[in-house]
Amino acid sequence: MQKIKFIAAIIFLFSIVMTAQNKVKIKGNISDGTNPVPYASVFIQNSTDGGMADDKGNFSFMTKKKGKVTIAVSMIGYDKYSAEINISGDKDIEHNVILNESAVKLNGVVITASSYGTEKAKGIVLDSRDVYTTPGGAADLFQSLKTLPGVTPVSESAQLYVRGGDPIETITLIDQASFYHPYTFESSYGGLFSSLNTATINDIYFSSGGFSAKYGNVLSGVLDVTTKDNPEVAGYELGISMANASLDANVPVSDALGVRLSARKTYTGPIFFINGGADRLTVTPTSADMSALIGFKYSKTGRIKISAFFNTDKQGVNVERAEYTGEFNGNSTNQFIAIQDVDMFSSSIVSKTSISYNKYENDWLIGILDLKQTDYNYKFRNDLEITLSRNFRLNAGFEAEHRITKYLGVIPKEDWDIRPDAAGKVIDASINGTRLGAYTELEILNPLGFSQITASFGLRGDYIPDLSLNWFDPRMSIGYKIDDFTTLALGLGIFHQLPDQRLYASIDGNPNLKPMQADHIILSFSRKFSESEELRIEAYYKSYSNLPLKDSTINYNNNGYGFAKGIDFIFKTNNFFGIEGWFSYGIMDSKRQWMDFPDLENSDYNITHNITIVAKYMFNNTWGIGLNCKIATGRPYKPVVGSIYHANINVYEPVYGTTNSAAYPTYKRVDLRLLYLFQLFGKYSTVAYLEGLNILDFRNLFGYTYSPDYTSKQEIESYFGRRMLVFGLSINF
Amino acid sequence: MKKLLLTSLLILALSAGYTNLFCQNETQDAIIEAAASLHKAYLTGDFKSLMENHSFFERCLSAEPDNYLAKYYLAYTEYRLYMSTQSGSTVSVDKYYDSAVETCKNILAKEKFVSDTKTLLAGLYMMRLANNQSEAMGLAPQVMSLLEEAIQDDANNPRPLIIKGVMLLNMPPMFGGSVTGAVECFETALKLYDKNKTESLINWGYEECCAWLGQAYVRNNEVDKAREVYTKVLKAEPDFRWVKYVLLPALDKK
Repeated sequence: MQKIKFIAAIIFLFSIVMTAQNKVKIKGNISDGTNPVPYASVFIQNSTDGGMADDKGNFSFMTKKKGKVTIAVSMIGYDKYSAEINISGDKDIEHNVILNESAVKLNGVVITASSYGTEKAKGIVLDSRDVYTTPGGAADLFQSLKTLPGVTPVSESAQLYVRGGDPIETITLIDQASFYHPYTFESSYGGLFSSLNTATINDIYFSSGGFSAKYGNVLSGVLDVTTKDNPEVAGYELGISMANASLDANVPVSDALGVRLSARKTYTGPIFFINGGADRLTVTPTSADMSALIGFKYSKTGRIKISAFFNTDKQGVNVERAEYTGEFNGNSTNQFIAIQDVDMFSSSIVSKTSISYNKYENDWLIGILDLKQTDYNYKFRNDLEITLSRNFRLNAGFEAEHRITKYLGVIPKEDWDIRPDAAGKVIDASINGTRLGAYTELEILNPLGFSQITASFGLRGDYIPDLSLNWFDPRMSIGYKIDDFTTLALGLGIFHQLPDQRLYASIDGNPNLKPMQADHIILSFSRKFSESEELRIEAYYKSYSNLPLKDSTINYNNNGYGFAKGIDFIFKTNNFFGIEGWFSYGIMDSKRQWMDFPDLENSDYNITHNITIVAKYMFNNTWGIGLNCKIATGRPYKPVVGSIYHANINVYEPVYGTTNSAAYPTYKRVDLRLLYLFQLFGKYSTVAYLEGLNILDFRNLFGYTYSPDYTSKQEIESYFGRRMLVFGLSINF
Repeated sequence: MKKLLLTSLLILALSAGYTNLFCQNETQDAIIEAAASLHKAYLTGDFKSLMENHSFFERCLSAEPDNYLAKYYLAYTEYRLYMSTQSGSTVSVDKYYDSAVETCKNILAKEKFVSDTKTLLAGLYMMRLANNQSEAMGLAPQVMSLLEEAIQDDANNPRPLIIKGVMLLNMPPMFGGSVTGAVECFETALKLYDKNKTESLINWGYEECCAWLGQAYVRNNEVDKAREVYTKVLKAEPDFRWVKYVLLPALDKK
């Protein structure tokens, strides 16, 4: 019995010892090489043995495992770590770990002036909801951007006239690719709407000046659009209104592959039928566009995206001129495809590469004018973002762009005589050009320990091999955070851009024109009153030089110059007594001597005062109202002060007064939108809207038409500028 | 004596297979215990405890890669971390989102915890669209449809109703948001919590539902009802920081 008791006791003690035996402590520290990484998870693979590092990155845990085991460390934001260790004996094992960050990020945002975007980092937020819900904007990106203070409403057109600059001085980029004709219904007065479907847009960055060295060959403004990535879930949206019908489909094919397809048809017939105004139209404006976004994630960090757009439009309108009344016919097609690759080379290097192709064709026909323009653009671009530390980031990039612009047809010899039997010039020109550009930019947070300061310094260079031309543009931006809500920013820089391709035609232009130059200085003050309310005031001065100027011997020289100066004010709120919207005001003075201006005169876009109020309010869960009011100084024009009779052709030639010395009446417009929300068939979220465009029927002039001898003039209204009612539905399913 | 001998042999046997048994037999209990700790961490805003639980679920999956309850809670912890990670953090918060979405899809592919995983996925998408307005109009109907499926999959599950209520409360009315609809969702969810008091493997959301219901009442100018619901939830969970330090003081200022 004693023996049994003894054996039992031995077995009992042995069993107790077995349960507690051989536990070894594994301890160590986890860091990124410099700083501790707190709260990382550390464990023996294929077991639950492990623990979590403390706030100093120290860890320790016990394990009974013996022999070779794999220790694993995991922390979101860092690459997974694993290493083999050998556990033998009872001694503590120390194992220190250095984790590599999967993406090093800056600790904050570099403050820049004149920026608007969909992300808070990009300045005042203007997101796609603003685009969709701005009354009168027709869910059109460009029409919505026109409500910002630095963008002047020169006409009903969607073109962006940024701070006294010509529309060609603003570039549109889509996934890094240049898109030179982003408008539909282009005529000599500009395009009416964006050819870019809002449904494809993920992110926008719009700058009205002082922008980064990343953007080259542009003088005044940048609209940088990023299209949507793979859809997360399948979904469809059907839109139908008196002006258009659209269908968007989002199809996630697999976790790696996703497709977004959009098709839209614009037909203005019903609008003109109900609202009148069709009497001047000979071909009712219609357009159709299709877009496809195909995204493929080929690795955890890399993805390729193909963005393709196709757009076509046509219009016909009766035009009354002093010498001729006839029909203007215009039609265009626009094809665009970009293939973009985004990947991380390491935890701190992001690479974005894009190759793109764009072909734009436009036919204009009126009287003797019969011109076909074809514009090809091929582009390669690579941008690298290298995060050197949490306070420094280096951006660098390279772009190569080849553009071919062809003009074929007949243009009037004199712009005052476009009759079908007037004298014309045959034009058959092809202007080819390659531009190579490169830039580097250093973004700095907390320079020299000043935590309130951010800065960026950039330099870009561009080279035109065909013309043996090159130039360098230094740019800088400094931001100072006065407190958590208030910032000051200063932007300075030199900007170059080649003149319009058309002016390089040897027949009536100058193939040796140099790039135009603009020097920007911008001072910006912004204050956040709350998360939903922000105020920004900016003063700017932009001086122009090397502008193309008419020359009697070489057609154009580079002696033109000018300036634009002004103050922009914007207050944006998401909840001002329940109202969402913004108030903007811009005051500006813009003068130039360029093209055929004999002296320094008001520029064509010198809209000295410009006020916009956008307000949206929901009365309850079902009914809402939106308002978009604009009032702006009338656009300047060159008045006719007399005429000369040409008996041989029986046509009067106008004699003009001082360039842009007269102005159209004040531009006024109020757009109203009523919304009604409901569930169609009790299932599908549906928005029904009734929009009143120019609801107060203000008469905004498109121009004047003159009697044959120019002794009397008659006002012409824009056919899209009159009062119109539009009804539509948008159904999500 | 025989008892002593048997006990000793039993302990010996247990100790020999301790690790495996822990994983196979005790893991579920440990997960449920960790889920309770996770719940507490959410209520008290204890980031460190959230991370501890995240680490625990990762270790569980290291031992048992096919433990779908651990997967669910790992994704749920990442959902909470995605929500609670403050700006200025050096951590890339999107990684929590990506990891949680991937885990949810993995669980759904195996048809485990279908209603709750769809709810969690909808919650993640909801957070995504809150941070990315350009996706809001396309994604919101899909989130709602995922939630409807989750409700159909389990009509007694209150959690899809909470996320649906949050959606309705925060969506602009012009895109289908409705305070009345939100109140209805939260009230129905609370009834379901009262009705199904038995413990289940997945159990979260009651306090959150009360907090959201209170906010919906405030939006309807029903301040007394909001105070009542806040007081009720604080009585049950006195350390619920969101209600204690944010929502109730805000109500007191009204």
